[in-house]
Amino acid sequence: MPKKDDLMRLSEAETVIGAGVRIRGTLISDGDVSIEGSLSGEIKTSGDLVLGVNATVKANVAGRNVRITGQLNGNIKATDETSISETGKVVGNINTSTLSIGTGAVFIGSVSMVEPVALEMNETYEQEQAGDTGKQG
Amino acid sequence: MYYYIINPSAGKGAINTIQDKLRDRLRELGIAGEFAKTTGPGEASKMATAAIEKGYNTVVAVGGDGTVNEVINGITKDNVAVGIIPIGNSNVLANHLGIHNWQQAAAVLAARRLTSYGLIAAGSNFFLSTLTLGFETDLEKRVDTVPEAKLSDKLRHFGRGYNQAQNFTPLKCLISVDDKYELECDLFTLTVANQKFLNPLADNRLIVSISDKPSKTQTASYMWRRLQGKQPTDDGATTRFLASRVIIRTEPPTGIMVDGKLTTRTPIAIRLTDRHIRFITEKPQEGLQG
Repeated sequence: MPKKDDLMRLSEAETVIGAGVRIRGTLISDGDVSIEGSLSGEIKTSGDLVLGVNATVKANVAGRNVRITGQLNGNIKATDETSISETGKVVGNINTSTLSIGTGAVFIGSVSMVEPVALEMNETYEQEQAGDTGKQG
Repeated sequence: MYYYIINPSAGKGAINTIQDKLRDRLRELGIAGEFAKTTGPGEASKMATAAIEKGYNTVVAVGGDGTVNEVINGITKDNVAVGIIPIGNSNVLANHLGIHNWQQAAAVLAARRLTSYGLIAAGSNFFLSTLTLGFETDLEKRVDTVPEAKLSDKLRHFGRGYNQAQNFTPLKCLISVDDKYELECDLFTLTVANQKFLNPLADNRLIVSISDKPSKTQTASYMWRRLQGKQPTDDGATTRFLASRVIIRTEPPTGIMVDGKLTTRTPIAIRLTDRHIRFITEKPQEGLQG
């Protein structure tokens, strides 16, 4: 079952595709996308992507955070996090920085993890710099 | 130079009771100009075009949504400012711009704050605010306009509209979006608006909202807003997306309302145009400025 915060996110997303809606083609967005219906084609967004519990998607999908609680037949490319909840089913390959898979979720495919480099390296660098400054003082 | 186009039928002849006070107020504010009354539907467009040709740089629609829509369809130059003095039965456009009565409208005209909105083309018509189809157009055909006086009449209107909604058969709908994808669904209502009208700081883009069969509570809420003369919200929408161009087909074909007026039928192509209208508006509400 979708959690309450999932539903909140659904209503706030820039693009919301309801249950019972069928899409064919390429959906491109600059904002968050939430899908409860069915789609065949491709989804590309620079925001977050949520496939709801009723969603049936046959497409390669790309987004910042990708959350699957429905069914996806296709590859996932997420710049931040990919999560597959307990009701989610993914058949395809995943390219992501962080991955979480809930108990009972189905995932058939391979994963390639990309280290979330930039942020951690900057933090380390800033900590070192701060430490150096402290020594000089 | 201000040119006032007055619809004498708007708001059941509201101009007759405020005419002298309005003229006095506009004179006090230093924005009195030429006044002209329309004599029939469609004339406000021709009058707006003629006023611009005569050299007027500000055209003010004195009426409701229908009058404003006619005026913007007659604006031929980008440098012309359009104002509204809302005296119609339906003043959704003016309300969106933060203008709620003629006294405030006069002050807004004098302050002359301009906001540019992209025009939307629906077939051969242009509009700024809202296009609707589905249950709402069906309701317009089958149920009389909202009664003004008696509570019992209003309740009867509410009941008829509510029953109509419960018995409405959703339309089969196919929408082509920006030549990128096709969307197929059953729809109860569909609205297309300029996103910027909902949020003055947003870009000019079409925002398409679709609702399938609403719940009883949503239907009641919809009818209640209608009784109050307010624009239905898209709270009940189950699908919402942004676009620059959509082509909408329905089965069976259905009527389309533009800014509250039945104009044409599906299939229809709707697109955001390069044309802009500079509206004289109240300043953006606090909280919308981010």
